[in-house]
Amino acid sequence: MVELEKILKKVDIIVSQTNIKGEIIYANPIFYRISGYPYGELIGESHNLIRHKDMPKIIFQSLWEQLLSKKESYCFIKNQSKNREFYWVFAYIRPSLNKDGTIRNYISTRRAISQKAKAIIEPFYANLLLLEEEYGLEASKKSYEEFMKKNSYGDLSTNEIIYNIQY
Amino acid sequence: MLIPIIKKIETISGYIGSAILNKEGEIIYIDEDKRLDLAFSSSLFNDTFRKLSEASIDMGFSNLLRLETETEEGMVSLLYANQEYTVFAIFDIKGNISLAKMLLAQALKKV
Repeated sequence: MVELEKILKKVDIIVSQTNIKGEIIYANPIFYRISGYPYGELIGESHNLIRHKDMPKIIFQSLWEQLLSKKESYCFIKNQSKNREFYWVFAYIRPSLNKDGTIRNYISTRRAISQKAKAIIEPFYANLLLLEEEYGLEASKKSYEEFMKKNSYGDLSTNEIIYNIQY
Repeated sequence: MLIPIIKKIETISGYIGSAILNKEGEIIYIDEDKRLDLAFSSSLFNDTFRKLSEASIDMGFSNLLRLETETEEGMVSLLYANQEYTVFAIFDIKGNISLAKMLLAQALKKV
């Protein structure tokens, strides 16, 4: 079955907030419109609800490592809407902290992926997924780290690399 | 039509960041300050504002035209809206907030 792709417009900024268990506590109207879920239906759901099967596990592992160490993170994500269409986003995710430094919740803003980034990321993720299926998570982790090292030009952070791919 | 007003507001002392949203919640303009995550804050404030506006109607009044909040550290958020747009702007309390309010009120009436 051929999947249809939804392309986000420049004004389509998807915003969501999840509690520390990963359950959605806020979704903006754009999130509902793009994901195709009726208003209110996303509240209490896990973000996994919109995860596309083409997403390599290593991307989320890397994302959660960053977030749990209280750092912001950029990443590219392929999501799936309720009617099984897919859409690519460039995501900025950050933990919101209490005054005592503990994590309050997570905030995510997601925009359209650039054509430049999509041309790089789509085949890269497809390869990571293949490695995961054939050889396991360690193999895709190695490939992911090699990709980041190759694009770091010596001293760029992972976030800087991802940001540079987008823009 | 709102963008030129926002550009004026950006020059007012104490200005920190701003965004314009339409009634669908689309962010049609954002002057992003990385410290603030304005995409998130403007969406959440706009939704809250629209809900408060509904509550105002349920009370027998009309739509809200503006909302002003202030934090302990002196960050002032201004929301001005009409039927089509919401303008969200953040200022330091030491800035010229009166001028910003005047410009925002005038701008939303004109659109």
